[in-house]
Amino acid sequence: MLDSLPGMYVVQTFLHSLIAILIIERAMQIWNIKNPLTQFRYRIMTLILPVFMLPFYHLINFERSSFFFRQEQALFSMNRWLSLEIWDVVSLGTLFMILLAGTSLVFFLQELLPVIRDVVARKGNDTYDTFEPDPEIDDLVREMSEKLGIEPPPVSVIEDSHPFIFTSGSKSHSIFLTSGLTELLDREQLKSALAHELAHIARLSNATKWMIFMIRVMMFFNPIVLIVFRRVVQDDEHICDDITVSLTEAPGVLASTLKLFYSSHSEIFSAPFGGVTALKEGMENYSHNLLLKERIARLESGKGYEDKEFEWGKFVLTITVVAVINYFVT
Amino acid sequence: MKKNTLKQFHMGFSFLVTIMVVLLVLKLLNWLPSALQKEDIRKYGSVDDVRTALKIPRIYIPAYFPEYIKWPPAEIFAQRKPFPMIMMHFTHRDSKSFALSFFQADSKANFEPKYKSDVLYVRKETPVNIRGRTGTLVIAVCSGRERCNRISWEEENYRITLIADDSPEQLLKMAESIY
Repeated sequence: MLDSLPGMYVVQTFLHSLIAILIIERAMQIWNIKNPLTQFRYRIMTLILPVFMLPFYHLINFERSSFFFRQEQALFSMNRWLSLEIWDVVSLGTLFMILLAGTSLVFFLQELLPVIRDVVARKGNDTYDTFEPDPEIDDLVREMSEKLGIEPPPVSVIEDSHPFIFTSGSKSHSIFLTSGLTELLDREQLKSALAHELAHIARLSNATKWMIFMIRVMMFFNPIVLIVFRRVVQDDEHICDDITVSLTEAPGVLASTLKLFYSSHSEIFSAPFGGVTALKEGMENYSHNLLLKERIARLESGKGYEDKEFEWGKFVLTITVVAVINYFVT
Repeated sequence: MKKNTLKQFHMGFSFLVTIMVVLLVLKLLNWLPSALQKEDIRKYGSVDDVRTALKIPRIYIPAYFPEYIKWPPAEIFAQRKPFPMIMMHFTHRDSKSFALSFFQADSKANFEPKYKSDVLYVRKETPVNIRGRTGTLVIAVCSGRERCNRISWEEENYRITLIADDSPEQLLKMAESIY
């Protein structure tokens, strides 16, 4: 099964992702890359490269999939390991398949099911009860949009006591915030929250997230992609935090806003659900809070505003090394 | 300035060391399975070496080869685990490029013999008679638009497969000469 063409794709993309993440993460340490924008560009290559590398390698050398290449020229061939048997009972190939199946299950439960559930739940009920925001909010959005060089998006307030803010749309954007949020935040905090959403709009974060989500869907079996996907989303949040701070010049305010989100989120999801749902919600809550905690610590430490020129030479060198090594990994 | 150059040199050196370590680890991991399992696939110098090392009782070899094929085989790979299998690759007498692949694998194993590359499409598949045994002749084209016709049948506990960039008649002739 793993020797078929789809099987080879599964095995090799896993290996290629593993090698890409090892080299790219180490390279970022060596090149002393701390800027989240640069980290984002490097990490996104860990997601993109493995998807396209195997067809590309096959295109430049169709004998790469042959036994001789694997046996004689490859630096590492996974087949050698997959055929090994542990105490003549179970092969490593079977264990590898179990790992992939587990990752696929996590993907289905954690990422695909919520999307399907959301789409089904919203079918025919795609509107919220919204009302026009305070004119002050519109002024803030217009002023900051001008600074970012984007069209000011429409802002709507949803009647809901939970404090939430989000941006919808990939091409034409709208910002939605809840009445609970406007009550919870003071003017400066609200400015920071809006600036953060505007930063996402300026960066086309929703479109980027869709793109990397599609890669995630294509590589549903790959545990490395699961890790990198989260790191890339995290990097995007850091970038938007930096843009927010450049607009508001108040990292402390953004940190205090995030702290409110941190505690609010804990309150919302601390209700007893029971069973698997409780475990899942608990894990999501934990990972959400972990990200918020990291962002707060970063803003409070004042590390977040480094703006170094992107060094293309080092980037190209790193990506080339990954591509060349992976060519010899089958 | 000098400090900056030194820093860049240090970074470059560290990156080089990282690459070397990755290459070394990959090489080591590639070698380890053969050290753990002595009977897994490896290269042998001759058919006799395979007989001695793996104690495979019978190795089938064609008695007839077309003129252009060079004897002995250019490469012999064999294994006893996870299932007994021998593969031999023969080259052209002049060009030294691949001419014929011979496979002898446990008939119960889920093994798909491959030529240099994957089969692009199959033109025709017909049953053939090889010394009273029923075999299959496949007329196929592999990646690179190369002809990769194959003939396969069962001999005792083994499935024998011959793949070559040659005519079906020649393949059949080679198959019939195997003893």
